[in-house]
Amino acid sequence: MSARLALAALLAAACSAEAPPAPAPDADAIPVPDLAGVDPDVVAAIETAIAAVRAETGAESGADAWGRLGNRYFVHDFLPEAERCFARAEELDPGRVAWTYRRALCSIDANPAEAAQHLERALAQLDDHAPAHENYAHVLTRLGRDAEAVEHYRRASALDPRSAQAETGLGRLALARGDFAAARTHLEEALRRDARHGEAHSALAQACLALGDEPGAREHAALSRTLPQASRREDVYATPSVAPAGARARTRFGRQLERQQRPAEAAEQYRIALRGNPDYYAARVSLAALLARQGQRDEAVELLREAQRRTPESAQVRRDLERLLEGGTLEPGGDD
Amino acid sequence: MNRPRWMALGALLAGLATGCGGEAAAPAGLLVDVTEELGLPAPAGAWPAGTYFMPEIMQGGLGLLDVEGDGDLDLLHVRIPPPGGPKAIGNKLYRQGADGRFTDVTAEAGLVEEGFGQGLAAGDADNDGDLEVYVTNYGADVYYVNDGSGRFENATARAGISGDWWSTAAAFCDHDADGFQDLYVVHYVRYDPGKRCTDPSDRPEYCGPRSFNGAPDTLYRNRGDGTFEDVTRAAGIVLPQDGARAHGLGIVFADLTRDGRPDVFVANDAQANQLWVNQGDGRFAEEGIARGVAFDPNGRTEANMGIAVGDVNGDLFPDLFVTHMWEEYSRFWLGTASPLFRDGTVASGITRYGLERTGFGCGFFDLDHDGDQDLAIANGAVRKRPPVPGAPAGPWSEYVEPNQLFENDGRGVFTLVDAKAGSFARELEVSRGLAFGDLDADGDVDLALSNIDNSLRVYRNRAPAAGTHWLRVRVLTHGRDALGSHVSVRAGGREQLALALAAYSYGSSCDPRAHFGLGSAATVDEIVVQWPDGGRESFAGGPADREVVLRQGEGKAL
Repeated sequence: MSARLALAALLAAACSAEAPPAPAPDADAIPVPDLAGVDPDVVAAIETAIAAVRAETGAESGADAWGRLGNRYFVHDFLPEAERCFARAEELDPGRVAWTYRRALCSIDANPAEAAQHLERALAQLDDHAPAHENYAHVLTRLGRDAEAVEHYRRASALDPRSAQAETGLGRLALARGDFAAARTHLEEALRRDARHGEAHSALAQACLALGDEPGAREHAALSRTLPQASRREDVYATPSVAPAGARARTRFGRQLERQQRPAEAAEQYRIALRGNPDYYAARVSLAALLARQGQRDEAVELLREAQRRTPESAQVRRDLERLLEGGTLEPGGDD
Repeated sequence: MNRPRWMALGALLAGLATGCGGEAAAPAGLLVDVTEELGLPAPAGAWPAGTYFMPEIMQGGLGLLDVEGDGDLDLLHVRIPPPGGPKAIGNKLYRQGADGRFTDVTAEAGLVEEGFGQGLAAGDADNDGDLEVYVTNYGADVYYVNDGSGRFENATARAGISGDWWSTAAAFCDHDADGFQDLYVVHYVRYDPGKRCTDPSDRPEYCGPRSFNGAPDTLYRNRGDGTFEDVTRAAGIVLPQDGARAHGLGIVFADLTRDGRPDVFVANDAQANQLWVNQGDGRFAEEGIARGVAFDPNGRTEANMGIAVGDVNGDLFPDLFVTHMWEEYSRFWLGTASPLFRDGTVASGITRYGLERTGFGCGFFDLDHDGDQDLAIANGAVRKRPPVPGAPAGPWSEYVEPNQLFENDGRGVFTLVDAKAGSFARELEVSRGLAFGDLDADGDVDLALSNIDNSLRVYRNRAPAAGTHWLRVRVLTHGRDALGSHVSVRAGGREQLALALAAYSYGSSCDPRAHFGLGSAATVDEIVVQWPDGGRESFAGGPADREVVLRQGEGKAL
């Protein structure tokens, strides 16, 4: 061994001996995000979930409380905090795959490499769950591990022969490796499963162009421009069931209640939403529309006049108020 | 400033750094902030809190352009009113003097109209040898005609330009080969200033693009008599729902399909990008989806903002790079021999560096004259994030991000070199516009940057090692810069491609002269130009380390 190597080894040993072990994260420390400015309704829901964690001591019930706090953070997009809660829940109860799976979903956008590790563990228990394979394949594609992604899309396609998502993924991966004929086959299969799948149309446009079929490319590109691109996939493990909190969630829940012919409960949700965030126009216009339909036009008008006082420059508010004053009906749109 | 003395001091410091056994970078790094040294105003510092008025978070523009034709680059800074302040503000033109320092000449130049600035385009629209300027605004845009001495006149109405869409980027290019440069203006969203938005955690936040419908872009055909006509629909620039899904932020107007005709690539925020392919008859066909530059590899839309274009892997096909929001990789689309672009994001190596940044201005340039295209990105969030380490306190502390500098290994694999990048990657601000040009005429490409607090920065390039060579090529047609030309240079047994473009990056206008790092090659064998009308000519090479001016018709037709 040269003198230099010996010195390096000595230094390494010294460093190794002296370096303190990496501090173990305090597993029981409850993560709390910066809640400044957050809707008080959401803050209250978070505080309730935190209190439940503090109250639980048993491993199984503790896991459940941590998981529920994770769910609460998850639905309000406090993803780093949600991830830590799910990690603790998984540690306390490794058998509940939902915690592992949601832990992956917390990092699927920000840290695909980490998400991949969690999904690998989750798939040990969710091998029959097509969306889990699709999510894993999606992450693998982002990481450039296309060959592995193909395997998981194939598995997902076999598990759920009605879903266009996996065949679209297979088509896109075939495009990426330059196998345009295979891409076309997969994408046509995807469209047999769902003729309105925007992503499949856009990918098939590429395959057609590469294969010299310009009319086909134009046709599928044109179709894809008119269809939603971000396909929603039903995934029970990704959708925690939590009571609505916050203007956005309350408004969505209110609309759901309206569809279920429960207008009084819907109105109450909109009113709670507005108490927390009076500027949340989606709640205000939903409530105004509901009241107008019930003949309470004056109260509806006053709701929109208040909106106009709060945001006098809003063209949308002006249009809605004019429509209401002219006796028309309001059509609440989406939220943010 | 005594330039030779400054250079001698720099050389001494660089030598000391190398002697200390570190990397060859000078102590202050490769890109050094010289803003104050050049007489430009210092960064703004204190700034009122944001009012969540969306246009104030999107501001971009600055331009490096020679307004009076004296051979050096001046700086035009498009500005926004402070939050809660007046609804319009003047822009600033800083003229570079013989000593390299800049002086505010806004008033005498006549660039006096106030607006809610977003970006700009520069180009010679009347073929008289000087540069016109088009300023994009939230509100009506302004078109300025240059009298040749750097004095401008507002010619918006006279030129037939109208409308008050929220415009972001714009580009001049002669799309119909009639000799006059046309103008493409990118529009963003149909903004409702009264709409109040929240983040997913129900906190007040700037609205995102999906809160509003998009707006159709505008193509103005230059009639050649000082006026423009809106030919958007006639040219086929039509999208479903009147552009409701077109949230345009970035533009490149150049031949990207290698058929000799300039195409238009528009980067759309949270929507599919468009590649308007020039059909050769004044019309365009949208082929972004079919050619694979509309979505990510999973088929999803991304927050497409700034655009860089160049050949990053040496295959002589133009490649695209588009900056994205955090949690989305900024994306490389590589030109191929087939009609399709290939996603080269993972292969580029940039995915190694995480998903923490929100990129806006960007561009390829040969930082160190080693013969490949490096990459600089201006970053800054559009939504609150956990503050980055060292973030200054203040209203923008949750939005500031460091900029990034990547070096190319020559094969299109990029390595983040922030540690030696200097102040460019150290200063924590909310950056948007990024313009590229050789400000100090020393042969390498310097950078100018704009931030959303109306501050700007200039970075001097100190990267090229002694003994490396360069070439700058100015291509002229009809007495003006031939924007959109492809310029390829053969030297030292290698061939390189660069594009003569002013409009790329984000809301910015860059020096359109094609710049080449030549490494150790001291002579150039041949220069080939593909002109915007599709014609190709070969020119003799010659010694390196100079600017070559090539005029269409004076080369050997190919």
